[in-house]
Amino acid sequence: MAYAILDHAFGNNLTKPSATKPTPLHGQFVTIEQPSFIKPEAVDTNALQTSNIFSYWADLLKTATNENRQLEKLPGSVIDASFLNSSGFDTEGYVYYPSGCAKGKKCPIHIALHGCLQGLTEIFYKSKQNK
Amino acid sequence: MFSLICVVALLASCANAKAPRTDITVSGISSGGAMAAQLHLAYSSVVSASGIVAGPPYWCAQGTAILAVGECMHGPAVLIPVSKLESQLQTYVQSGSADPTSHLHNDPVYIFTGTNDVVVFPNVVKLNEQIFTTYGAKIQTNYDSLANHGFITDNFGGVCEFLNIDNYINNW
Repeated sequence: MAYAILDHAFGNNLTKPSATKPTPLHGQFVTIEQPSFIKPEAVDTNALQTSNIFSYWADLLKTATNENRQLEKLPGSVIDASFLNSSGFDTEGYVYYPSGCAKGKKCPIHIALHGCLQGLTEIFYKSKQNK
Repeated sequence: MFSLICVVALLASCANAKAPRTDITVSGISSGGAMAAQLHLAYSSVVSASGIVAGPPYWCAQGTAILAVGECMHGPAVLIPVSKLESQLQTYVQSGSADPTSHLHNDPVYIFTGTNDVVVFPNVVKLNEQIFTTYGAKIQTNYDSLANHGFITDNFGGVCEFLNIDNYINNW
């Protein structure tokens, strides 16, 4: 259904993946630290030499690199653990760069949101229990 | 909630860069579906499409937890006041905290609910269609799958009819 949603959003010109075989992921998965998103007003934008922290992050996130990045710490992150817990916001999010969007090419962003009890903590915990 | 708004603002800044109107799209499942609908309706000048998977309609909870876990999950849908939800959005537009709804005209919106959903009932999810129709969105619905509360795929996940609490993915 991910295809159906994106194909509708992109004007019905996407290529349908195989229904029987898993789609190979030739792109790049990057884990990003999310706490910066919670308190963007606390980021020192002067130190980063930017007037708009959002466009700064967006530019950063839209650009895949040739390096094999595992964890991307967003510049300016202000981590306040107590605040994080009360927000219900997980510490990590994920960005996938399809192979066609690698090597510095900037692509559109689609953001997918999970629901209650579907975050990393709950899903990972349950998968471990089942093993 | 605030954190999600920050994400929107982050994405919003991308739209300034002469991008096509597919630049920022959003989707979500369950409460994430409610958030996707809210992001699209409130930030329609920068979000150009949304996918709402098994989520309740905009402002359904009206700020109360009782409605959020009551009518907005199990209905009955007839008790959810759609016109009141829409007028709340208009109030936000007038005060400048939401974008003018004219931006929603012809925006693609995909709405999914499975017939066996026991978490957010199908008739509740379908109210999204009423709201986005009001604003002239280009809607595609997917209401006929036997799925329970989950994201359906062609080749991965639990049995479609059963609630798969391991990962909320159902193999359709």
